[in-house]
Amino acid sequence: MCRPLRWIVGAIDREPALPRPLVQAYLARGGSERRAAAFLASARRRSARLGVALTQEVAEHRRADFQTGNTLLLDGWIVAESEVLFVTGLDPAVRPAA
Amino acid sequence: MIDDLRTVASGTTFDCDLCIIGAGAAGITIARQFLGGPHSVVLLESGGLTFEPETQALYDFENVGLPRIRDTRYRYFGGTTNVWDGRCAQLSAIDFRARPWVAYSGWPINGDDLQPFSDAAHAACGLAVNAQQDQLAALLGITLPDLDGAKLQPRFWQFAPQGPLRFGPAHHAELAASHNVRVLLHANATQLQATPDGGRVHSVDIRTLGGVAGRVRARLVVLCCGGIENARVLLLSNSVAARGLGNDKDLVGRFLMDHPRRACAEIVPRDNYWFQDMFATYRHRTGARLLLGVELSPELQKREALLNCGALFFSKADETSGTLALLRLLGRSASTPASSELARDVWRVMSDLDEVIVNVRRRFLAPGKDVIVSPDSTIMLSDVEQAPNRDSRVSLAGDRDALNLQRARIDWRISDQERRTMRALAVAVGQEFGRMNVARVKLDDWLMAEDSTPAYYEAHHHMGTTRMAANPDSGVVTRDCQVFGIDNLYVAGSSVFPTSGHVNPTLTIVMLSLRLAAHLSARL
Repeated sequence: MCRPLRWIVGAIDREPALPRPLVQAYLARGGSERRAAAFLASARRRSARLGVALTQEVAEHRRADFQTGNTLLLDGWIVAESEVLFVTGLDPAVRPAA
Repeated sequence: MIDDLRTVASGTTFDCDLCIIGAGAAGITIARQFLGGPHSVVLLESGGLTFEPETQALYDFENVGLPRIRDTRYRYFGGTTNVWDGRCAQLSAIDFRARPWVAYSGWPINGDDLQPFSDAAHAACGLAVNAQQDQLAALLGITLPDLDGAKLQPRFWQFAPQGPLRFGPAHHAELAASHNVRVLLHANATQLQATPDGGRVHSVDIRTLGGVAGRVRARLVVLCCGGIENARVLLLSNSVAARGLGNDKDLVGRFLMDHPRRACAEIVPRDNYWFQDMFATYRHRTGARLLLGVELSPELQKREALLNCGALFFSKADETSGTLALLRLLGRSASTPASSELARDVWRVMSDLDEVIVNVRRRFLAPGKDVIVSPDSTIMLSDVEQAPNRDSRVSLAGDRDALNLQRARIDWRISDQERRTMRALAVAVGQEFGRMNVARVKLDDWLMAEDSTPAYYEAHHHMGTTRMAANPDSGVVTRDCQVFGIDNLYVAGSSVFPTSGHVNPTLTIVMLSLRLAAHLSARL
């Protein structure tokens, strides 16, 4: 059970959220680190342009993904694609521990 | 009046205008509509006024389909309302419609045909509030979660203020005092005797377990024995029609449905207090209790070719909760602490003061609300509509019961559409709770296993075995619940449901019974 999710609910505004097993599950099913890095770079540029925090920018993506059904099923958890890309795009050293 | 066939001379014939077979929710509801009227009614009940193991054993059946955990039908005065939890809700409009993606769907009536009986049905079930789903939040003075109506919608279930209405005890006195309605206890209907052409039922054979036999001659006969026994009685009535009465098209007993039930997902709320407060049991000023859950929207059902499906959320309390400890210390909990636990409970209260304070405030500021306790886990429990399936059926078994009647053989079958529907509901809940940032959702593993038949719990809602249809090629009874081709034989209860929706059936059973009673009254 990915108990860290209990911790991250609602917390993506503050810090990287998804626990490592879900990132690993994403990569194991063919998720692309390159695409994740591109997403992160794009989100950084956009947040800088708009003058908002990066995590706020990602939270907007996440809300839109849930709205449109752009979600993934990782180890049973329903997650927004943008939050997976965001966390996967971070330097592995920064990603949360399992 | 209430009589007992065991005390009547064997060979007695009872003449009446209307014979009702079965004194459960449907049978008692119909009988009550004739109280004090000009027509004579005999209401047959297989059991007595209380549970009797030897009568209950007449329900034993052979199971050849999906495993059934236990049989919760009860065979005595009041029927299964003697044990039901009283949860009621009306079917949705979509449940009555023919849906191209649900084989054999579509009722020959719609919700509007039942609405004239809605007030009386709510009263008959002891319910205090009769309002449309979209009016209930305003009546309760609450704001519903901001769900995307294209995916999910809120759904309320209602409980009576005084708890589940037991139809037997509740109506015993008025039936006992009646001069025109005679309840006949321990009278098992063993065969419906038809005229040689099979066009009418001229009498009902009855017998006690002790061997006292008799018959009831009636102008009209109504079967109200439940979703399994209605089919069984028709199949057993084969003295004129070899395949059983009303079974020319081999449809009696087919399309057996229940509400497959199973936990679908784990919910991790962002704020446990908010979540438990929202998806909670609300108290209306009348005392009615209304339980809030969710259901699939009609749009999503159509878009993804799904059945109807609803879900409730249940939290398993953390036993170390300070609130629970305080309730134990105050003697307000079912479990009183042992002396060795006293100190531990005091410590739990002290170390969980924030939650205790929340509940003390609720006690004074929101007295109608339940206490909220940090959950150990929260699950989503779903009931899904079952797709009608010809091969899911009740037939007759080889072995016989104590009345020498063939037992029911139950072959309950479920397709993959039910699992797919439950999964879609769980995903929609996950997406909506994620969008609102109120909770995260983890689907249970079984929802992902596409190559196996999941083990469901049955909800003990037996439906569909004498389905209502527009023509005899598609069902057993007409839109007026008359058995096709038999002028004076009717069926009441959930066995006439062509499709099941996802909600508990009793309120719909009672509405249909009231509608049928009005029809019978007009005929007599």
